[in-house]
Amino acid sequence: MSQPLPYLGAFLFSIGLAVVLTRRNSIMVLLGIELMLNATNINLVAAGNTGSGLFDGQIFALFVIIVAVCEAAIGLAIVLRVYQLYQTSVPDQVSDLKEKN
Amino acid sequence: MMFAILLYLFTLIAAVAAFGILIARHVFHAVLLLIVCLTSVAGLYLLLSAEFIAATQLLVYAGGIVVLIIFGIMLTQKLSGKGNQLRHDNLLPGLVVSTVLLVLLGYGIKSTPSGSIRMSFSGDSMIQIGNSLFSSYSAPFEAAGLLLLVSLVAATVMARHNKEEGS
Repeated sequence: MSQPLPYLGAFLFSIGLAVVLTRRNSIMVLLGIELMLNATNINLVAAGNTGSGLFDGQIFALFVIIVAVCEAAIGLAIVLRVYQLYQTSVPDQVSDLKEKN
Repeated sequence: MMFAILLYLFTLIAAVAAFGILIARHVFHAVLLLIVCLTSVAGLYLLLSAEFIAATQLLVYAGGIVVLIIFGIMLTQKLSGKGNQLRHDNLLPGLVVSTVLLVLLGYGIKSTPSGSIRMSFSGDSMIQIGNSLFSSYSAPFEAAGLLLLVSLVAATVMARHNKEEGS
């Protein structure tokens, strides 16, 4: 049986990259990053499924999930902070380093 | 046979939901499609006999990260307002870059030999993962705990609403 899973991983990674690049909302950028991390996880678990009794791929996937949680928490905190300061969640409109007065 | 049908079904659902995220007109619809995508990926993990990863995926992603993102949406914009109508920007360069990446990755995967999937619902993987997390992977495990603590504190400090500070 040929594996569709590496292709699914590649597809999800490309979709995530397209979401990050083309969407104008910072929350959508976070969604795209989550998709890309999921694509790597699919590849890790699929490549680790060799039947050899080793589960290193799954452990790597576990650590990727942990890092994804940290990234989501920090990213949303940054989004909230930027929204408090600039009243927008569109990254292109956040172009001032100094407060306007 | 059943296995192959489920495998391709979950793959198809995940791919279609991911594409829906790309073309969704509303942030909230995109998040709901993300739940569909992540849940079908958890089903794929079950088929790959990675039960622990499947459970973690459901708990952490569908239960944690998606709820966090929905909170982020509700705190940063009005749910029914115009602010959620998404526009695409840099449409041509973004699509060109991602399509080129997809073609290159597909070419690389095609020219790599891949083994077939072995499935065994023995429950062995959970025991093995638990053993290795506390023996050979204990240092990364502790580092991950530290990382979680640091990110929790940092997120709390950054998202704190402080009017007196002024900046």
